[in-house]
Amino acid sequence: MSGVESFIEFLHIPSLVLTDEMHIRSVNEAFCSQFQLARNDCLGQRFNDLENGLWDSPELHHLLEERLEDENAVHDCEIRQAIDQTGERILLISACRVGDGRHTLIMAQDITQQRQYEELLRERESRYRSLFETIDEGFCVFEVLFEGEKPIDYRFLETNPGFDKLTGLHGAVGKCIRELRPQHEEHWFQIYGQVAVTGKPLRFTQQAKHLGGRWYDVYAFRIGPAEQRQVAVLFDDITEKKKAQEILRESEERFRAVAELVPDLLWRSDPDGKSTWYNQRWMEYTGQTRVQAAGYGWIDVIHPDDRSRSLDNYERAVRTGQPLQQEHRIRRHDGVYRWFLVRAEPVRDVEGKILHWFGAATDVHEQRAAVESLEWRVEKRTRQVRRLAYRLTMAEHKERQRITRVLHDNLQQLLYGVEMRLRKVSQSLLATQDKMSGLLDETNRWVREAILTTRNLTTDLCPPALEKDELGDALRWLKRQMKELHGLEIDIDKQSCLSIQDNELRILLFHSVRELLFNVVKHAGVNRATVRLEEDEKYSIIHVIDDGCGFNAAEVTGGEEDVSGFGLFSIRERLRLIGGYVEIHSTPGYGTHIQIRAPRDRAVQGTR
Amino acid sequence: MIRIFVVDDHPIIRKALRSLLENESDIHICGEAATAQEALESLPQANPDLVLVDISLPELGGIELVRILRIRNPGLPAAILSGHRDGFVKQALDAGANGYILKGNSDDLPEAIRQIVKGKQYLSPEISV
Repeated sequence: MSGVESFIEFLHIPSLVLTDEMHIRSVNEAFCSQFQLARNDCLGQRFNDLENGLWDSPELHHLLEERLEDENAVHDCEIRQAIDQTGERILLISACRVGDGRHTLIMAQDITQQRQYEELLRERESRYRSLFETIDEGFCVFEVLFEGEKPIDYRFLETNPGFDKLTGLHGAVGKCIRELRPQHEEHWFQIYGQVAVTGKPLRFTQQAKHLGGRWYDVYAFRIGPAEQRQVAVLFDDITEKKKAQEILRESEERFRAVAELVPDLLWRSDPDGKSTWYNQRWMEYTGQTRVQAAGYGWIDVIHPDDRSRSLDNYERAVRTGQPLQQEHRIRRHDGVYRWFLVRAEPVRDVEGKILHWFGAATDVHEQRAAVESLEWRVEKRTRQVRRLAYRLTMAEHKERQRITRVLHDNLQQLLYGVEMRLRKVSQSLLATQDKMSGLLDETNRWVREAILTTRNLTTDLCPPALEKDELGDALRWLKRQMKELHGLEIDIDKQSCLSIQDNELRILLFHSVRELLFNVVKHAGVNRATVRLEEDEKYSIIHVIDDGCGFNAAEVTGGEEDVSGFGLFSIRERLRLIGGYVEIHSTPGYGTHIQIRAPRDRAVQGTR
Repeated sequence: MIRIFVVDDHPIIRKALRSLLENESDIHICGEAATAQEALESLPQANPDLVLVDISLPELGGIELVRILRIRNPGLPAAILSGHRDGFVKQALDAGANGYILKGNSDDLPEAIRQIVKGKQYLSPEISV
């Protein structure tokens, strides 16, 4: 026995020797250490009583007292034992009778960790298995077969359902690919052979013509020892994606072909507005390189006067996602600026998110020049018309003055002379011939009437008050005239004055006011009007106001001609020429208020 | 006898005035001139009691002549003869004219002359100031 006891002392396996009464005769260090027991506490103890009976399990009992009785030795019996300090243990018990047969040698291998690892492994394998069984991707493990150093085939060892689905190969395990697909391309063998030999994983996309021409994204890596030449492959069918890419590529090619054909300057920008592409036309026109034009480089070729506005509009479009349309000048490679109509539209995905902006610039320089030329010609003609209207007023006045002179200097003087002579003749005949005297008196009356008529005519044609600077005096004269001749009462303040030194302007204003007062007589249906004179910083202002029937100002003044005979168009155009204007406020039934404004420091446009 | 000096650029008017006023026993035309300059040169010799001045004279106007006469001959009345009913009346009176007589109603002329010579101001009835 001492031999056995000495032997177990050297064992790393926890061991002890029991007497026939199941008392511990000897125990090795490995057992004490494994189960955290003191040797002295063990020796002499009943085995089953160790640790307050924790070793007293039915399984152990059966093993040591019954099976051992029958079999003399038991090997590798797995016992699960609850050990207080160390928790549950799984022990692999081997026991045999030793010595004289009355002693029992027990070796207890602790395989708890081993069993745990195994359990863990099983769980993991189960999880991975579940993963492999359920993933859409294909997975397989195969052994690469070589002829010498040349890979010639591979045999499937394991496949998942995804493999079957993606390749169309069913029941591949245990079979070689050449068996399943004799025409399988050579490059597959090369690739997998390389992985098997080098151990370096490979990622690639490849078409398998003999698997329906499908495209695969493949990740291949070696598993197991190198000599086993086993490769695992994880792959995905990207045939549809490839088709979509091809369609996109073809679409891009078509787009680029069109983009290079059209005469417009085209570009594309990312959702943030930074340009990412220009067509060749842009490069040729601007002389920019792609690098120069990238991002916001296009700003450099926009005319400085247009730059700020263009950039603001563009940034607003990018911010709001709204299409853009504007015109600005773009510099040509030779430095000349030309007008372009610029449009940009967002391109969105199915969810409405902007993918990029697409823009086009169309050369509209010739059209714009034509429009500007036309506008300039219209403006020029309008100025000519205004000048003519103004000159007409002056010519009219000059003619009045001429007629007045003729009347006054010639006709009237003759009439005065005739009148005086007739008076003398009448006086001479008075005593002798009553009848003749009567005839002469009558003739004298006719002459006086003629004198009165010519006198009124000269005054009307050329009011003497108009010769003075003070327009108020001329208007007060006009007030008397309008009352006498047309029964129109005019309220004009006696003190009201407006000094207009410019002769032509004074004449223009006078005749304008007279025209407006004639309108009151002819159209307003009232016999009273107000004339008010004032000045502000910029203008001399005359108000002509009545409470008459009013009129629709827009209808009367909006047209190109005086459709109603109001003369307002003419007054307006003549005033415009000198930098003045007319304000007309009138509503049918609510009277009329017209303001004539003439610049106080007026410059006559183009009349000098 | 009231001595009248006539200043008018129209010979017809001068002739007609002379012819008309000759009928008045107390009025005599002592001189005439066609321009203000002529009048100023001739007046000292003519020695009139009243100067009748047409408002429209060439070069120096009638109202200006009246203004000069006021300064040179303050005691010599001057009246404006005019075809204009208004527009010049105030100017004429401000210049110192003693009367504003409208041409075309010669009935009033002799009486107007007499009143002015007496020191009154005369305005033809049709005048509006």
